[in-house]
Amino acid sequence: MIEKTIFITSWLTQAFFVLAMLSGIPLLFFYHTQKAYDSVQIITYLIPNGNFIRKFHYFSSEALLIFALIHTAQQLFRKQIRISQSSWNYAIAAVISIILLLFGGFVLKADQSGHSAGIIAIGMIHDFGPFSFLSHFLESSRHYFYWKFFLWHAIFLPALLIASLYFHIKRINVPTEFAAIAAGITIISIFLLPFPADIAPYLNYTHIKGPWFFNGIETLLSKGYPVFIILIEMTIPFLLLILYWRAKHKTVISALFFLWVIYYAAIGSI
Amino acid sequence: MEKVLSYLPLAALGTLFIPTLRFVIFPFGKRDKKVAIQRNRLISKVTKIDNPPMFVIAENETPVKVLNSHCTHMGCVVNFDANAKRFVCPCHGSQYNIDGINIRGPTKKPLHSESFKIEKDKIVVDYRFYDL
Ligand code: FES
Repeated sequence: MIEKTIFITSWLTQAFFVLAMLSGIPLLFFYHTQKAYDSVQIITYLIPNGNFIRKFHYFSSEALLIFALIHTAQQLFRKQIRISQSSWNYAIAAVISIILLLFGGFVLKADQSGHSAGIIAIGMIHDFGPFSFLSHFLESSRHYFYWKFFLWHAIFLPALLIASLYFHIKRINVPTEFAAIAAGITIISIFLLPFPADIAPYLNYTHIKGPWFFNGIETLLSKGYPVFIILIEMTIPFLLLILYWRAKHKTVISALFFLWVIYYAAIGSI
Repeated sequence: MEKVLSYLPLAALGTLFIPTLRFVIFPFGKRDKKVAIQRNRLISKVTKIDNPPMFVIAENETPVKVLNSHCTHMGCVVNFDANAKRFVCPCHGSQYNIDGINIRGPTKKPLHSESFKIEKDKIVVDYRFYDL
């Protein structure tokens, strides 16, 4: 069963990636980092089909992450790994790039939740001991707040993702029928699923949430856990994945991985 | 000798690395800034200023304190809850009393207090751009 479906999730992941990338390109034409919130509102409400393209970009990206995670989980249930260690590591790099890409997109919508998420990301790296200098790779002055996030989201991370996907599967190959299925799923989601509302800047809003996949981090931050501990905790699943390829007792590693996922989902739902 | 020479391109790249890194991470635009606020804007005990974000606390229309609105936990912009007379952070729930002292939530520090001068009809705030 897994042997058959693993190819399906691989193709769907690639299809959603292509759709997310293609739908992101028209948005680039109207997104201005210095007037980020206003430009997002102009895209959404003034430009013909802007709302549709924005939603298409959002839902195809969410599906990209979900299918990439399903595909990773499937690998852990397989009897044996059929890819080389480097190909396995590139897959992990691809998953990390997808998570960061989605986070960047969340920040770039530039409403109160996006802006706060950006500030928190910078703040967390700032507090990350010897690595605090890395915050300069995200932080710019007030008027250019979104510029470096934009660079990561529109250039560096997509490039990293393309490269890691390419080295993972040696080609990027999206059969037309899978592209059609992915486009269908995205369009149905646009009509059936709720699209998060933008919270205008300066509104007195009492509770701001980050993207769903960072809920666990938000909970740990609210409980006052030191940033260092939180970030170390977040590296655990990726370290386990890296170890997985070489591990003799693969079931132990995958059990630990799924335990971590359950733990993260549990704290995220608090 | 040939082996040593073969490392030259690597050494050349290495020498470029530090200056490039220093260039990229230069904190451009991060500096203190003087911000003037007209005193007639101070109509209540706590006046919210949006850009840059701060609160001016006044007694009898005389400013007594200027608080930077960035939460000292991770930097989100706090709101003022006029009923509870508290500053509340919408991100992880830190709360500060009207003097900016932290009273609840994950933060361990009070809100940053900015120095300011009163000049005739305006106050001039020395706003610390720990620019987020
Ligand atoms: S940023 Fe204010 S409580 Fe975390």
